Amino acid sequence: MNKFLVILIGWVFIFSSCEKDKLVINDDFSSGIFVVNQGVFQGGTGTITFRNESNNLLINDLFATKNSGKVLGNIAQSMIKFDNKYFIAVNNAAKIQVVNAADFKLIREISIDLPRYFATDGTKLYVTSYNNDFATGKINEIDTKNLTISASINVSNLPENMLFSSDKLYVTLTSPYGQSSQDVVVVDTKTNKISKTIVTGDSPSAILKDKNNDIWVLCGGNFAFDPLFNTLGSLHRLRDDQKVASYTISNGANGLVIDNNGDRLYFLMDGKVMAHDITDTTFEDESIYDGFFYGISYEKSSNRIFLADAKDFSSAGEVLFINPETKATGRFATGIVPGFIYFSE
Amino acid sequence: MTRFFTFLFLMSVFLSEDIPLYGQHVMDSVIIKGDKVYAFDIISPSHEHNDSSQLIIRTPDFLQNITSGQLQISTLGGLHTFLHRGMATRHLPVLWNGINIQSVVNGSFDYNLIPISLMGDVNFYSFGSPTLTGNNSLAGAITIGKHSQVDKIQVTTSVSSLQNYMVSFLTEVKTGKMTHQLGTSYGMENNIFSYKDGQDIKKRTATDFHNRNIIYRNQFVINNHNVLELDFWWQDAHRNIPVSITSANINQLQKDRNLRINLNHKYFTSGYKVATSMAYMKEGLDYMTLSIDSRSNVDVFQAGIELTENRKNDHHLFLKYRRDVANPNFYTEVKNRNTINLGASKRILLGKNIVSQLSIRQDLVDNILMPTAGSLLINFKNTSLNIAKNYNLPGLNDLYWPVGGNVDLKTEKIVQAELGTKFEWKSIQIACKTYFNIINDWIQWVPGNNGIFSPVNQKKVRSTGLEIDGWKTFDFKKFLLKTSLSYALNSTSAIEHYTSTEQVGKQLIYVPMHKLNATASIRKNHVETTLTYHLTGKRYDTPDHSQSLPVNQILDLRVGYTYKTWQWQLNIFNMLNEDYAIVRFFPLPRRHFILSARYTVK
Repeated sequence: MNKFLVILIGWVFIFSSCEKDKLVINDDFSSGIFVVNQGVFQGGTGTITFRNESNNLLINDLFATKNSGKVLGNIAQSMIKFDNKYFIAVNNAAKIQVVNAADFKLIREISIDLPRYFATDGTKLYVTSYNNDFATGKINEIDTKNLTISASINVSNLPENMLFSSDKLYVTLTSPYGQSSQDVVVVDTKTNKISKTIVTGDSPSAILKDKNNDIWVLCGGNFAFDPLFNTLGSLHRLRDDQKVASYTISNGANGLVIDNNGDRLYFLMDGKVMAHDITDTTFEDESIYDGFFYGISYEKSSNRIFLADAKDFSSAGEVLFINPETKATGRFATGIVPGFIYFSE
Repeated sequence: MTRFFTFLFLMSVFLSEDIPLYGQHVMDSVIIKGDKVYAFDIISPSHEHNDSSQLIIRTPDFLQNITSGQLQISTLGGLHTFLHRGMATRHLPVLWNGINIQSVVNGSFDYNLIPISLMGDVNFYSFGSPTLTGNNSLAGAITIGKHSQVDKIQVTTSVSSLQNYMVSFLTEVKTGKMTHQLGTSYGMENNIFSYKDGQDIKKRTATDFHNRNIIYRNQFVINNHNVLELDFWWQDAHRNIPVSITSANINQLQKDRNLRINLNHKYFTSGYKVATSMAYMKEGLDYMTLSIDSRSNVDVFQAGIELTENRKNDHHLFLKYRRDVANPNFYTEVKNRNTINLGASKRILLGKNIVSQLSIRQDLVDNILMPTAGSLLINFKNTSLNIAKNYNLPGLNDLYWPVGGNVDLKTEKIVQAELGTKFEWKSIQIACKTYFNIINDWIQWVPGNNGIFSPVNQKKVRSTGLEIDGWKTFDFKKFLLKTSLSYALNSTSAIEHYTSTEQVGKQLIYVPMHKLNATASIRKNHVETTLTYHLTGKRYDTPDHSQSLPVNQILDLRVGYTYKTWQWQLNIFNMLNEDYAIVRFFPLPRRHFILSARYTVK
């Protein structure tokens, strides 16, 4: 019997004696590359990966590291820098985590249902959000001094990415599952009222402006209950809020970025990185890089495309970067399900 | 007179419950309980629910004591499953009267829904017998049987510090040739408890889990040759499943409505038993949030005939037909599955102390021949070897989920073996088992190029392990001390991965390599005090092993008092106040207790 006790005590000792050393990091996070990792679906937590190429620093889960192990929350969606603070939208946790840009210490949590993406013109900050019915949503203005939601505009369908243009805020409204939306709404930011609705293609999701001040809208196409009724995606060019060109692309296309010259678009489609010059009059199936990527971003200062590889959506992911001209590539490790890449300068 | 004794013999076999009723002869491989007359008695469960010495209120508490597997729980009130020997819950059938009551839609079954106080036998078989337990018994089987004998009235009740309450009532009445068993239970589980979130102490939201069960069993001995049995089980449950502590609180409502009826006729003649059965089940599962309204209804029809010969060399033959009609509102059309099983089993005496049993089964599913399944059991004294070949059909969601279902999925195929022995060393009883399983075309949901998750045949998995159980009883005259130690070592990993070679050799997620249970129990007069220590080794929760859940050690105390017609029991769970989770960000309760009582009228 004594032997059994010795074995038992031995087991307890072996399994309880290991503790990881704590990581001590003293750095400035005001600038660098941030990857917003969504985390494991249905119950995991999002994380922030920080990459500083100048000193080769890579920190996974920066938020927990700088906030005594506190978790960011389920499904981290996107982030933005405003007024020396980072605002991080944590979708399924229904909050925006606001941290100090210099040390990444938590300042405050802003409660908001299913926040998605931010946009700012430098003076105002907006965030889109879904309602819990996943059929409607809001465009919200954030009071950046008191860190509260100061105004909300209700919209049908699901507001996604935004684009500031003077006093106008263009907001894409994606289709709820099994339904259809083709709208981009224009909000007058002086009055916070919708001034116009522009009809584009099925399920508009991404939006940006080119060097000619034309607006480009990427539509992913609808997802129907029966996949036979899925619709094709499309890419649209708007000038003076009028559709002047449209191109058909695959269902599920997503992400839209533009290069540093403002004349070449990149987006994700069919597991490839697609390119489209703004001067092209037809859409060529022009892939510059193959692979399944969950997010795309473009760093204008270095002229590189950054691609988020979520791998199996359960393991640590990776970010790959490629210079579209030199084809030089590189990569660094991230947290689980990297989806959004943000460059802070 | 001969016929009368034959009848008595058959009835004693029939009622003894050493073999499950309804021809569900499940083979266990290792723990041999002694020489028995009847051929299929070499088959016995490795773990049995026996409530004579202790009151088990929840079925998961019964499974918690099985070292060779891992109870898989995200949150109390949510789905409770069991990963045995590294295999998935879809590989462990739950058999009620020999009918698999796992969902044909999603392949799982919530063990919260087995009212163990109404079910006399809830048994666990560590090794699958494909011929007799069905196509997916890769990881063993859980069988739900009936009480062989019920006291006239049995009332069981419990109250828990988690604000959970349960009461059940079971009675048996004999009228002439008929025996009636009627039972009902009602449970209300709030599962409210505090947990640590950093420096803060927070409370989990209430599960508001109400569940009701009604069972009725009737056995009608028509004459010396004919017995008719009816088994009825109705249940209704609804609950609010708490989300992870990293998510904003939302209502996730789940409703389960199940109706199960089984009618069985047995004809006994000299050396033969012919059993015919018909069953109908209506299984309803609704899941609702503000944005999801998922309603699943499945109708199951099953009919079968079995012939068992047990005069000299036992033979067992069966033919079964099962039809599943699934009509969830998330499918684009009603989906049917028609299964015909033809099986045979033969017991062969190879020598004085060597018994073997060879079994084979062939299934026809929707007019497609499935892989032939079979097993060979060889038993020599206290040592046994079991070798089996089996397969697992994809669930209907795997095939037909509207966005991502994969109709080209192949069946999972397994080859497995288990070797076990039992012996005594320095008056310590020791049982050892070693096993290996190789599963080809393991099904896993993974994201595709369009970002949509789809099930694919992802890998070839090998599961191997060693299990050692030792127990010894000390009789100090004034009191009795029973001790036991159970250790399981398991290695389950991909040996081939069709898409991600870096996962080869890595332990599958949530499967601990080490598990240990130790128990010490002191009995004096009417009081029994039991201390149980559970150790679960580190478990990875990401396939690349970038994250893991730490070792957890749980100490439970049980004090039971039995006096005349009363049985009282106090369970204190997690005495050491361990903060732990089986799934990350779903904390489980710290120290809590259940007080239970049973009153019996003989």
